[in-house]
Amino acid sequence: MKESNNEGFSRRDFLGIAGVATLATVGLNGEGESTLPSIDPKGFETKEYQSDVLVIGGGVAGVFAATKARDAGADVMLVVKGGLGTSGQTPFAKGVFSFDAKESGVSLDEFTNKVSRSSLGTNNAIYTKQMAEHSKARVEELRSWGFFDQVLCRDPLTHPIKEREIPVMERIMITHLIKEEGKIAGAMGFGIDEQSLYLFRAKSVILCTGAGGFKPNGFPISDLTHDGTVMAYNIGAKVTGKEWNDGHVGSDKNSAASFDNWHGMFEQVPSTTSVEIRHDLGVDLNYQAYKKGPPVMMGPPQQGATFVVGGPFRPVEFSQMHGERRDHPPRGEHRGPPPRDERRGPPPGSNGTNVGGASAGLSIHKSEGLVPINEQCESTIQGLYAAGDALGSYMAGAIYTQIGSSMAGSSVQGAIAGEASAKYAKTIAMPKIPKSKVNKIKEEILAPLYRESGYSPAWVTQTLQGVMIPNFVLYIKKELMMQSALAYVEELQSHHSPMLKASSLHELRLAHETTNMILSAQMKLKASLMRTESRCSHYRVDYPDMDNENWQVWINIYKGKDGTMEFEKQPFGTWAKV
Amino acid sequence: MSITSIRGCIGCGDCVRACPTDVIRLDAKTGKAFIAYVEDCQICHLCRMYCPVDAIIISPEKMIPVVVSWR
Amino acid sequence: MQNTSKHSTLFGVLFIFMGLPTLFWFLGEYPFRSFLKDSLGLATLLALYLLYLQFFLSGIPKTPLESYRFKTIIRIHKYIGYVVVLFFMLHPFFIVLPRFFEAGLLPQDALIKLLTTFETQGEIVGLIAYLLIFFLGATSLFRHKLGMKYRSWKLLHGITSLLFIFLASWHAIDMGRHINDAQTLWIVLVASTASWMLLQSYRREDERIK
Ligand SMILES: Cc1cc2nc3c(=O)[nH]c(=O)nc-3n(C[C@H](O)[C@H](O)[C@H](O)COP(=O)(O)OP(=O)(O)OC[C@H]3O[C@@H](n4cnc5c(N)ncnc54)[C@H](O)[C@@H]3O)c2cc1C
Ligand code: SF4
Ligand code: SF4
Repeated sequence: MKESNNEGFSRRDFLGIAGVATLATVGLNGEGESTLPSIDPKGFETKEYQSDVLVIGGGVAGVFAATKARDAGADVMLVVKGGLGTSGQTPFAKGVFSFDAKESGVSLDEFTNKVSRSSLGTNNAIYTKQMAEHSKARVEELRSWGFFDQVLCRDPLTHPIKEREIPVMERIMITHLIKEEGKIAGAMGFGIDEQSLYLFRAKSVILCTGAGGFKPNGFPISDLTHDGTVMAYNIGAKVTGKEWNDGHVGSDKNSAASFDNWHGMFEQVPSTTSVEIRHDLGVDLNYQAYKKGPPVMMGPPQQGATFVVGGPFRPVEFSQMHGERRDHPPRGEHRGPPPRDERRGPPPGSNGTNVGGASAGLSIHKSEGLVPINEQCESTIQGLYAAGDALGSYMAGAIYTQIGSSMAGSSVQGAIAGEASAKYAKTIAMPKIPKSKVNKIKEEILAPLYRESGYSPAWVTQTLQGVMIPNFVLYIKKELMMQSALAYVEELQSHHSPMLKASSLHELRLAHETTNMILSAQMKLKASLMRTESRCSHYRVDYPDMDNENWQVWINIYKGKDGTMEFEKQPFGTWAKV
Repeated sequence: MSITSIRGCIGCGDCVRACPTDVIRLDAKTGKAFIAYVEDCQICHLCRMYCPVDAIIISPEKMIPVVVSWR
Repeated sequence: MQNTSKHSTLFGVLFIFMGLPTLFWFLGEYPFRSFLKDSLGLATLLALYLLYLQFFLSGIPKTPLESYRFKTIIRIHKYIGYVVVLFFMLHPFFIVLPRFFEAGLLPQDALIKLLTTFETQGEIVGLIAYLLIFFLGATSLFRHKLGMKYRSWKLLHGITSLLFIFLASWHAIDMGRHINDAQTLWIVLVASTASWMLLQSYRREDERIK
């Protein structure tokens, strides 16, 4: 066994070493440049689908809608812009209201009346009552799917869909609703993963597309741009609630970090809430910032919080808590302690220095969206239903009232819309959609990809944010400022929107979202200009008082015959006319 | 700067599905997730919470200027 | 004299298999995740180097460790072997372990996903290596029950180990979240030297038989 070691490599040895070395250079931790395949606007194919009921949106409303429509005997499809249970607002909500008259000692009517008092009459009492009445049943269903057993809701919400073998199509943005002979006939959109257009023919459509905002910083709603409202408006539906504001603030430090702003709440396991009616998250803090300038803090005055007299009116009965929202389970219900350096505490801005506009562009949940014509979540278009944040049901009114009722409301309305839509679908034949219409929509969807020059959606969005988000435009309103902002927004609408350019499917989605945001901004400004009073989350310095004589009404918005934006008043407590 | 890095990815694609704003995509060649559109990250941590191997690191700082109502 | 050389050998071993890897780790300036996660990460890296060290402790002559008694070396080899095999058997569990203490995917769901995803090269290679580690452990633990001649067992053990570190190194370089270029280079160097030594010893044996 004696021999020298300096014989150099044998071929065999060399191969072994070379092998490992090649691997080392080839597979270097995936840090190389990754690129996506480029796209060719001419290479799109249109895939066609058909169902009795088409549900658009995969939040809690969409899941209940699909489930109940299926149980009512309809053949159902579910299409989602993001993922089922991982898009919209549903993944972030942790408290779900479950009404129990016995346990709370409050009867259904007392509950409804109290919500009406807090919301200064802006609520639709029928929807308020409906939410409370059915909340417990929906909560129990959620429980049986495992919703209250873990932090993440994808699997629990997928459970009932899988069980019923309802086809789900994810990562498809619906951009158009299709109306034929005065009735809904389907919808169309595009996929963000591959070059395909999707045409859905359906007897009935349920919009569960959630609400939206201006992709604000500090609130996890950047995927929601009021798509449902805009699509429905475009085919003639009435929409409402654009003058109201969700007044969430964020923290001064890292204002864009939604996760950090919520101090670990996203990591909690959902739980239920019981009766607790408030008058929360209007624009009180915005008023303080406006009056005295930043820094602004939330919380009781003795802890350094700012307090300014005047501003938005708050009914005495609900005066104590100042803007703090507690619609989340009590601390300590985490499954295990949260990781990293969480400074734990209540949701955004209950302590520390705050900045405004965290949820800019969003109204109070359920105050904005499609106008219902009855308690079945039916819209002003035959066969088109909406549920949850996409339906302007005014279930909570124009201010946050019952804690956790947003999730409960989406669930309840989803279920009701599902059943109603399935029932409706039985009465009609499958609609036909002319080829010419499909081609026209196809052209509209793909237009940004065909443009060789034009504006980037990201830039237009930022410009829109710069115009709309300042406190003195969106929150503390006065005529002149809103008129000025409107001039900018109308410029974006008439000039920039038609010149949006996209070079990828991701950007195509941004382009359509930007267009929708611009239209929403226009609605918000015009409705706010129209409402010459202050009430709940709508505050005007030039009309600071509530005007019960003229403004016990909701504002509906619709597209006039000549394509202009029209407005109408609908008295509180009445149903809209078709 | 929002979502910062992905290391140790096994390519299951769950973060891609979980991201509401379509920030993450799978690389066609390696099959691994990569950060494709970082400027759209809303710092919501869903991707991180869904990743089976905890491969995703997120920083609270946004990489594009942040528009707020006042400061 | 004997003792100082032993000491310097020991220091050398520690430096090559523990010191440098740890140094490269810290030079990587990876974002801190949590004490548990980072400790597990470092432990995994060092366990990998212990595997390379095994080649030098396998009783192959002409290694710097020749000065130690054969029996001692083999005892250490066995000891480290069982510990490291056990550690790597738990490797997938260690990856999902932090999930018990933080919110997100449930640890069991994460584990199932981990073991049933075959989408990337590094992951597939890792899973094959994972199976090999069971094979290595079992054939070592039950060597006497296998009824193999020592020589053929040794060959089997050597070849499996060789295949294993090839796959494990690949997996580590491709998937390791704390692997930078320096670490990669060092892994390649140490792994190649280890494999080369083993192959050399086989060749010598080959020639002797001839
Ligand atoms: C941080 C945070 C905390 C909250 N906390 C609570 C709480 O504790 N309690 C409570 O009751 N409420 C809470 N809410 C509100 C609650 O989450 C929502 O009211 C509720 O989830 C709305 O459900 P939804 O199904 O109606 O809409 P969403 O959950 O918003 O779902 C909308 C769905 O529509 C899809 N979609 C949108 N546009 C399109 C399109 N163009 N094409 C296809 N699909 C589309 C989306 O991808 C998404 O799947 C919270 C909200 C947030 C953001
Ligand atoms: S933090 Fe949220 S927005 Fe950012 S990449 Fe992850 S899932 Fe997407
Ligand atoms: S979830 Fe994790 S493992 Fe799966 S693709 Fe994303 S980064 Fe990779």
